[in-house]
Amino acid sequence: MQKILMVGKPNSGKSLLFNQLTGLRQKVANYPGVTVEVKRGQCEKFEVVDLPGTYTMRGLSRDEEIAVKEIKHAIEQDDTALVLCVLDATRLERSLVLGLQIQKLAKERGKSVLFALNFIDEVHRIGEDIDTAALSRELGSPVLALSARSLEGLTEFRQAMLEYAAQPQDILARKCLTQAESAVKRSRELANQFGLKMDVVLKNQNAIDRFLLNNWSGSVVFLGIMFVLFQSIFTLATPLMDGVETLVADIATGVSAVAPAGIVRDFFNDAIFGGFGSFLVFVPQIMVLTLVIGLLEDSGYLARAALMCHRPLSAIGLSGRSFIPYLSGHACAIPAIMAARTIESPHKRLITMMTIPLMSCSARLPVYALLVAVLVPQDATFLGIFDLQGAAFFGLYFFGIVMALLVSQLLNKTMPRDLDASDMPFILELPTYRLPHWKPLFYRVLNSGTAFIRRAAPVIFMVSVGIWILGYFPLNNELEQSWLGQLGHFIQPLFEPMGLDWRYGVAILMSFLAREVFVGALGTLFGMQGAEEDVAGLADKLQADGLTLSAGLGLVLFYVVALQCVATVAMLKAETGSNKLAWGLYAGYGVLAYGIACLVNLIM
Amino acid sequence: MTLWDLPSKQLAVVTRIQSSIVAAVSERLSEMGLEEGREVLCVRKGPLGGPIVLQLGGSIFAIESQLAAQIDVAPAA
Repeated sequence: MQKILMVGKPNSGKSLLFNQLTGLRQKVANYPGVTVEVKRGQCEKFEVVDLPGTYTMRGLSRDEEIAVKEIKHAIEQDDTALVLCVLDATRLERSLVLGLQIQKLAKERGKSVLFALNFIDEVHRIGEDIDTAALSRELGSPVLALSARSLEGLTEFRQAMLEYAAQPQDILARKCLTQAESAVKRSRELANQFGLKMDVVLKNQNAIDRFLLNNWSGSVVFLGIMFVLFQSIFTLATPLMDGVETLVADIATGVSAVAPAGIVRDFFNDAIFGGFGSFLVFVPQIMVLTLVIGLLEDSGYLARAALMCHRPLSAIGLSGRSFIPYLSGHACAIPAIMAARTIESPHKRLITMMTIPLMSCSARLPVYALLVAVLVPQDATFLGIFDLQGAAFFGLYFFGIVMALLVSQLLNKTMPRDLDASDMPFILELPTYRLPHWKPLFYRVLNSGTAFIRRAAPVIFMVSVGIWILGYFPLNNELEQSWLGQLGHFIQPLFEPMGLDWRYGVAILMSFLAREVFVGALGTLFGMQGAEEDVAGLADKLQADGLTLSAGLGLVLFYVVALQCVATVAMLKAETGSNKLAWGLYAGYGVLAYGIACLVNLIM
Repeated sequence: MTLWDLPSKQLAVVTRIQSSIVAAVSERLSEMGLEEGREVLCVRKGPLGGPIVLQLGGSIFAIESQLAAQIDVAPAA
């Protein structure tokens, strides 16, 4: 199939235009989130490829390097019919730098370029217009004005684009930059001639920025937004999570009814639904967090948040850009590690990636929920207003963040770095504030869920089946005599300093593959079926069994620190290119977690 | 004075990009429009002592102190 490539700078409305052109069916290569991705969709008989956004064809950060490589490669392909370059009509000068570079590159490869002048509605709103016919003549390639949001000019654009794509030779650029000409100078000339009077456009935005970036009002807004964000993970996701639990339980009941009693039914009940149910429950939470982060990003606030955090984070050797990966790390470390690509300095990027696993991802939630229920009385309040269990949750999240900051500081001091000079400085464009459009957000949220399932499901499946086999055989035995029980007794001495017996030991050991199996495994070990659906019941059992406060606290802190996720290790390996580093972190955080747990158990 | 010293809401003209800035970065600055002779407006000094916020060629940028201190400007009337 012939392809239409979409390129443009970040925040040029490329994603929305892509969605408007392609509709429902699209494929995302790469993990979604605040990161580099290539999206493919179909428009009539053409495949539309949305390439990652970049400001120029000279990449500074890792994400830009990838984007530039991807664009160059795509333009060279024989089946590329047309290069569609999206320009932001309100920021013409900045858009045209990339536009002119792309046009030149395309011309060298005999490819035609079509410019889409997006956000024309915003230009019209302030009573201005842009002479696209004259701009087309100056550029030597057609320029069409449209708004992917208000749909102004979109139908005409789509039609023209398809016609051009069918006959690309008709619009082969009549001129482009010569070797001596600079894209920067030329785009300034063009912007002066055709662009808007920027003071008018930016007056309101600057006023908002003076407020949102103010030391006091800005900090209050920032903390308020973060509070709402974390609150929403719980309040919005809880009903959805309950729904998923009920659904899995219903299917399990249905299957049990038809499966013959004995080994087959046990297998489905415990291994498949037990293991999978506990894992599908996180999907709503990841999607809710993706939605909230997406709203912040598309509205333009996320860049401001990164800016607010730059100075405090620089103090411990991180960048303001580390803030976004840290934030998404609270849903899942995997997209967060990808998002670290936007960090300009390789040294800071590495430290950020290494500390992301300390953020309390949603896989830790059931473990927290169980242990908080065991350790903290249900209706108690803290200072008379805060629910004590809620405060305990907050404390655990906070502990993870503090640990991450401490480890970052330590790594920053001790890790060898390539020459300081090669470290790129912090430069950030603050995008225009805009009302987010639901379409790109919708696809992003959907993708975050499916990508998580695709990536994590195989591991969870193998672990669930593995635990089940170890616990089920040799046949017709008490759990304590099973292979799992024997293993537990063998490793028991290791867990004595933590104040825990063999059953916890086994559950912890199992959770080194994926931490979310802890609750299910512990349920099985305490002779309960479907512990995932009945956390309160399991909590009562643990209490009755005599889990001490010190051992319990040690255990929950263990889960804050330990990097028990094989999928994260695989991601770290892929992004750092070092097997040693990835598995070293896995072991290192394990030892650190063990040390903290033993210490808490001994001194309390 | 350097860009870092530019007070809030003050317009200035870039007079010199110091040669201590590595080539890749000064190229990026030029692509952003930060070149000798260009006008910049300080939108505000960095929040919490952080990067300075500038208006430049129709876009808003934040640049960290170390880099801003290597760019000379002259206040415009």
